[in-house]
Amino acid sequence: MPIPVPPAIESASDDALMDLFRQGRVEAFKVLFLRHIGLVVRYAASLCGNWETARDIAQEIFLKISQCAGTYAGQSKFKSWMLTMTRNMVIDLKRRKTTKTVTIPDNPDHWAPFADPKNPADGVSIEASMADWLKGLSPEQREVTLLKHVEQLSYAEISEITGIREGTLRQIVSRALRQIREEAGTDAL
Amino acid sequence: MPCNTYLEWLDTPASESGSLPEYIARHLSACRDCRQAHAEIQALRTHCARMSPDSNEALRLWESLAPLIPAQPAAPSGQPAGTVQPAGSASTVVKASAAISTPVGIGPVVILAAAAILIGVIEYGLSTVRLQPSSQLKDQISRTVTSAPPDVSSAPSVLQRHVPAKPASGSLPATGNPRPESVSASPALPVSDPERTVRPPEPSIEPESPAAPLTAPPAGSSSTSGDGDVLTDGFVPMTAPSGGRD
Repeated sequence: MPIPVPPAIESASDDALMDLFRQGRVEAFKVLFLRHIGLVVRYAASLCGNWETARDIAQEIFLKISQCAGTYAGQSKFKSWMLTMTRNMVIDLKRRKTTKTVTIPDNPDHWAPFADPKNPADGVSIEASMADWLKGLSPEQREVTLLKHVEQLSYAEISEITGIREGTLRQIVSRALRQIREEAGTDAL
Repeated sequence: MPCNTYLEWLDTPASESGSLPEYIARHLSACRDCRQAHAEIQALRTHCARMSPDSNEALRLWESLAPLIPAQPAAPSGQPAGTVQPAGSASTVVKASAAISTPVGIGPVVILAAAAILIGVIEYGLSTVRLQPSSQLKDQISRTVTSAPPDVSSAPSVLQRHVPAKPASGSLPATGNPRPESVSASPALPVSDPERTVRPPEPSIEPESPAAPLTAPPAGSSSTSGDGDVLTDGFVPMTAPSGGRD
């Protein structure tokens, strides 16, 4: 049975939605889920290197959030709290060495773009080069660069999620972009 | 050496707003390197967005997750529980359990505290009786005997054995003492009863008790010596090899 979502809830902030969910309103949690599932999947994929595993992780994350909603007191932004939880879960999965978790260096073709005939060919070629650049980055560079330039988080938020100081984050991103630029200058476009 | 103006701008907090400032937009139109870098960043975002679930897949994921989401208790402020969770299901259970758990949580503590106090009072009373000066004990005995003769049978044996010594308590004959068997069984206690091993310090509590009254108690004496005899009389048969005084 589908859960109806009032229009007013869809525009509420994350913290307000969490408050509503703690009051028993599951439709508020549905809005949170639909709002952030893509972010969690992308971040989990950047960490574990497998989109299918990333989807499973994202579902686990939202189930965990629903179970421990009472512990979220709003000290940090909901997005940072959620991504920190995601990062910890991926780290736990890597430690357990599950068969479903495949690291990016072990599966370099995973970042290849989908062949979409609706998109122009040059867009696909840029994505292809982007996949190559992502493969060439270290896991740390890829994680931080994606959080910064794809998810467009601030350095403060990334620092809160990863536990890396902001100055170090700037160096990581700068080095990653320089590496991308060097590769793009030689063989891309 | 490629131009890094756009990438340097990306590294500043100003880029976190997501919108290009005008000077960067102008630079992008003029600089091929930065335009290329901008296209690469946009391609990266497009690529990652395409790989992530779309709205249909997100809904499908939600439908598979929704049955597993635990119901949250309703707000205590009386706000409506929403359209999904029926009012009075989980909240009623929580309120009922809270109403039950409050006395259950305090009750054992109260009972334990009362029991501890009761035990303490009993211990204090027993220690008072054991260590009470002989004169006070005798007065207490006389009060007990004279004021409540019918209850003497329920008094401790130590007190009852003082009754024959009191001339005023004629209503309580010495032969009526219902405790002979308990005294006769007492000689075995000094060997096996661990309580006896604790008792030895007790005589040292009353060092003033003369030894003479133990052997020759003056009849009708109301002094401490006579009472000391009576008090220790309860212990002497315990150490006697056999044949209690009763």
